[in-house]
Amino acid sequence: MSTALSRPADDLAHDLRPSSAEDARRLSALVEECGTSGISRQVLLLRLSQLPDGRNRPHHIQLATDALLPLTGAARAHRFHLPNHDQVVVWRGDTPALAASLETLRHLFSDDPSFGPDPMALASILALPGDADFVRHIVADSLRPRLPPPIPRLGGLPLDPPTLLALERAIVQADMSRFVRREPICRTGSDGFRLMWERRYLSDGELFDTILPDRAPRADPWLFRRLTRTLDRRMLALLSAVGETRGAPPFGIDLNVASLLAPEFLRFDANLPTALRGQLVINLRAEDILTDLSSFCFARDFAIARSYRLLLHDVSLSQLALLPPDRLGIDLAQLRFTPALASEILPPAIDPGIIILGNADASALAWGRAQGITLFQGRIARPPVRPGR
Amino acid sequence: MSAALAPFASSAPLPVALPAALKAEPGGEHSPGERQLLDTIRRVAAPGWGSPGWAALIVLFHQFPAPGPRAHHRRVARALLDDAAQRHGGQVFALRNLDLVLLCPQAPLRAPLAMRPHGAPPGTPLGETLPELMLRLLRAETQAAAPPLALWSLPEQRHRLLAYAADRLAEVGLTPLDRAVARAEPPVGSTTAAETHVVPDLLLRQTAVFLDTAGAALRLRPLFREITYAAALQAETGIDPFEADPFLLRHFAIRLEQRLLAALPGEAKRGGALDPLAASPPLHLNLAPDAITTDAFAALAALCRAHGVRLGVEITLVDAGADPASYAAARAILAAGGITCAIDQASLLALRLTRLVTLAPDLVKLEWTPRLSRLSGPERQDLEADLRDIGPERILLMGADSEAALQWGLTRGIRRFQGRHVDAMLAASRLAICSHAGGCTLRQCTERASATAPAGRAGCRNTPLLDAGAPGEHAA
Repeated sequence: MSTALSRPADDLAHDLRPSSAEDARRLSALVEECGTSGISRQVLLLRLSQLPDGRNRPHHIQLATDALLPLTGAARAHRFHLPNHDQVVVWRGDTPALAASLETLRHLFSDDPSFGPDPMALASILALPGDADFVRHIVADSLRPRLPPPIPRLGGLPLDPPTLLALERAIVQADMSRFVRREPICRTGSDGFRLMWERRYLSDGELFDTILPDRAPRADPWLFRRLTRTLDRRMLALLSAVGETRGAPPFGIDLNVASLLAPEFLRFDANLPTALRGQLVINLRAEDILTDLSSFCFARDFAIARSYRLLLHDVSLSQLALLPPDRLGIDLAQLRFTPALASEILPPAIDPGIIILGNADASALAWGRAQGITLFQGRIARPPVRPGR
Repeated sequence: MSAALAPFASSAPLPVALPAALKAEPGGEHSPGERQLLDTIRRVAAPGWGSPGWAALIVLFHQFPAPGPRAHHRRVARALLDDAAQRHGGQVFALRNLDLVLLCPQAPLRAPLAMRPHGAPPGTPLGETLPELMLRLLRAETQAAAPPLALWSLPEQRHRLLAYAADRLAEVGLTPLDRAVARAEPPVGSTTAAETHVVPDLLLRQTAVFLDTAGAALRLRPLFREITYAAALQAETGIDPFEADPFLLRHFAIRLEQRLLAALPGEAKRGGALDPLAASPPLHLNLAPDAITTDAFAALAALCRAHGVRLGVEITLVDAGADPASYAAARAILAAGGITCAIDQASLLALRLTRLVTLAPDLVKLEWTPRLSRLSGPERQDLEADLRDIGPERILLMGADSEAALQWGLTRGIRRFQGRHVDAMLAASRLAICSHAGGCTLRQCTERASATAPAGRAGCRNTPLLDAGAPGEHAA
């Protein structure tokens, strides 16, 4: 029998929020009203959905929720409980309650900073109507259905070509929107983390658990890579939906080289809003690049001409040494942090300014900072107040 | 601006409004582009039209070297031209010979494209125009001396454009189908069917040699005999590696490697083309790193070691780079067993884009291409530096299909070669001393030496000589 303290955060959060979908709708309406009327409002965004494991217990959530209470007494204050557990308070004018709430939040997880959330990422101060796009984005993100984390696979049969074909057909017909995930890439500085862009991707693990639970698609790396092309097409189709990229903050997507040269991407590119041109990052994988270097060069030059930034995604240090970004002619590389990396150093020939340290936790942050790395992805790199401008 | 675009630079009238002649014409892949193009040019270039400042940018895909442009070349070119046409009021004509023609005001074609805000990687020209971008994209692909692009200004060069359009119209009905479309991806099922083939039917073997230049005459010293499957795979399955899904091919190749590993111990002491113990020179196997860590490979390595026979393994750059941890584990196993570790399929591009030395292979197999001997000054200097980093004693020039390849390698201190030219040299040496070679041709002897299945060797009455690494190793 579960006790209050051992209950999953989802359960308790459900108890705490009165009507989260309705709150999301009300918040959206308020954002629109601010835009129409031009009346300024302050916003405090409390991203409880970003609390790391171990820090999202019911009592943590309750304490964080209580910390917002002083703000609810501010002028024209409204409090919103979003479906993903994030909370938003909107008010007019200055109020000393803001400092009190922030102070409480700052000390909430200070007992062990290594495992606590970054206070700057946990609570964000925004302003309406200037940050309307970002608040809309937060609301939309909160409405996306959350699936339970995938059950770790202990085995399963690898794919074979006939199963691959069947899987590709299934993916083409399936509703993929519920498998879309976002992952922030943040820059660290003296003022904490700042969101630079989000990686948007399809969670293939959750997808395969849903439609092919008895298989281990990654067990055959090359058939899996072939499958990613189908996922690329679906992701591009989702992004090409009306309104999906309008007003969107900078983001990155995973693509194969062949997908970058496919009709789906060319259509996506042709319809890309002008404001996003130069703001998108294309994540490419080492094995894909090496498979057809000639196509990679062609795709790279085309992408550069269309103002995309290219990122070598999820590489180890030895892959980075084999594929130096300056030789490849790409802008960024995401280095995968592992405990073993802590005893290594970044080769002097690699500019730390173009490295994103992925899978980052507290030890990764320490190692990365020592190497001069400022961009991070992972549990510790939690979202920022707003996209970097 | 490039010399190839010089005619365009000579005229710089101001842009004018889109003529009705262009507005009226629909475009598209399936419309009769040649007729539309000719009619449009005639209208645009008619006397008294009075709208100078237009240009025709033509992507000459029909001039691409064999096997022609890949589908994505044309798709991307079309997208770029369509974008320019849409922005600046022009029109794109898609012709049956694969060429694409953009008719558009000149001024936008002379303006730099939008800059990327975050800085471009080294080597990327800043401020390039659409014609310059197209030229750079396509020249890198074709590696041709002549640019696959034409840029003619109107009305000054209307006669050239009219002649070009008239020629294209005359070709209609005679031109081949769109090869880029015809080379469709094979069905996944074809690889499944291929898995049922007997292993030797899908294999070929090719000898690599050391070219000894110490004496008065060149001497060939065999180094190893590689078991390959790419060409046979294509012949048996109809899969064209050029256009096929490379991931699917890699999956199939790894399955084949697993079957080969399982089959080789059974071939021991049978004296066939795949007998690992009879192999002289030693066999080189193409394997993925994961295969090297299997019990099957350990058993084969132990068998060879027990009989004092050497063995070599070739790992593609793709496999080594895709999973460096597996590669490192495989590399350690090979080093401990005294087994040669070669990095296979190191192309000119691979040398340019990667740092192969970080893989610490015993041997790098550099792919020969005539382009190696046509590099520009800076490109050549970079290549020479990379070759020095690796060390010519660790480089083997593969795909050496001509005397020029050998000469290129020899002048750079490379002594190890493999390829059709070497095959022919070995076959010629065999024929010179073979007492059973009465009616044999050079080609027959070459093909029989490369076969691993009995059917492919049929007709040879001196298989011991055929299997010898070099003629000198076996009495005729």
